[in-house]
Amino acid sequence: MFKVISFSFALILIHAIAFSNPKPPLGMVYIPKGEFIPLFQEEESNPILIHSFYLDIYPVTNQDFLVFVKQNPKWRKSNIKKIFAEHGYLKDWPTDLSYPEGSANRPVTYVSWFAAKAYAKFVGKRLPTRDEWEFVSMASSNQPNGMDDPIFRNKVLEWYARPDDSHLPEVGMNQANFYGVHDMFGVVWEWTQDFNAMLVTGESRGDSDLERNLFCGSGALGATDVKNYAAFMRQAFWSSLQGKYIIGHLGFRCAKDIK
Amino acid sequence: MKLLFRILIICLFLFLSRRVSFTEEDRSKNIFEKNSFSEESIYNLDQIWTDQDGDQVLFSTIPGKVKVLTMFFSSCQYACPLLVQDLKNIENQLDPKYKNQIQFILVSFDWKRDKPKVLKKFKKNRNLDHHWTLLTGNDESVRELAAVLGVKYKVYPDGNFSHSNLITVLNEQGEIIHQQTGLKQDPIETIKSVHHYFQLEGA
Repeated sequence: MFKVISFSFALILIHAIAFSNPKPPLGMVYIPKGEFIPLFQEEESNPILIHSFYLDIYPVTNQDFLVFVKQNPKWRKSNIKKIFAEHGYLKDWPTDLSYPEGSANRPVTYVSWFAAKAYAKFVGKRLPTRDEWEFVSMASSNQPNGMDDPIFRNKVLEWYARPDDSHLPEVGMNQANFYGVHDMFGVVWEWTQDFNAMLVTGESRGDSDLERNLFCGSGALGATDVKNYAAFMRQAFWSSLQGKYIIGHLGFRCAKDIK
Repeated sequence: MKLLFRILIICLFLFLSRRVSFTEEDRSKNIFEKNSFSEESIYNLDQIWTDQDGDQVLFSTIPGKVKVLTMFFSSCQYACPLLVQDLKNIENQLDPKYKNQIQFILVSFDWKRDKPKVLKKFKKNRNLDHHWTLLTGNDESVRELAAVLGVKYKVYPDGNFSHSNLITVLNEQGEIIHQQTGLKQDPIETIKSVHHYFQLEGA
């Protein structure tokens, strides 16, 4: 009897330990739940709650994407329908089933939101939400929230202010952040599940409800006011996008719910 | 008893092995189903929706040579009633001879709360007849449809939405032929585009 009890107890203990620190799928890390004030919102705003989830360590690479299109012909360059991706989809790929030499580990770009979503579904994942992405992006190398570090904070804002699609580096070249995630900055902008939740500040005829808190009331946008300029760039970028667009500095990575 | 058990095991084994061979056959044929929808047709989305009667539908199976659609949610206090009114204005100003070839479609953002019963009540309360179809889906279908139409929307933690206001006209192939942006708009251009389409089609 005692043996049964102690064995059961041991079993329960092992399970408790195993489930208290979920093992992420290969290539992903566990992001524990947290709260944050998004970078481009007023300080008085309510913090946003992020539930724990898994996030890809690196953006999806050309090599990754090739596996996907090999098994999903409808997402190949020559087959894709215009409604899912505009002209120029995978424009740097020489053929349907090859990427440029030496770019296996570069993030795949010139992919539309529809293609990114289809890839995520194919590998049993999903795209992260904008909130999830920005939550993780605020981590410096040693802090979950690096925004109190003025050097890191400026680095982030500079990146938003100046996205750059010249020669893409390979993924993982920079230091991982606090969560073990690479390349949330300095490589590519990334599609999210709800990219079209960015509302345009509409004209008075009321074509949309406004994200009034977006543009801080303070003064003119100037080169010295990096935060406002970065906010403007981010808003302008996302609100101008359609799901079928393809852009040279826009890629993606995947997330996954914790079961 | 043992015999019965053995028979069940054999049946289970046969059943499972049939399933395995089906998928292997699939893979060896490398089936690439290219549907017949055109490059720009939103019917390519092939998402399943549920209408106000609880029936499952695809966009392509909803009758109507021309479809005029917008996205809304039933508990929306300000914009959506105006949007529905804008659609009614279009309906009233269209040439009556085309009426039976046009379907007005309202797709809800709020798939969690706008269940078929809610949609049915909404339809009744606003006197929307059989030329109107109300649809509810899921997170993915709603986000995808919005992306294809160019509708922006945001879900708030309290379950409310802010969204852009867009009326879209689809031709018979499910391609977008016209869009009307904003609220309380003069529908003249939308009417023109629908009439023009029917004239070209020789309806």
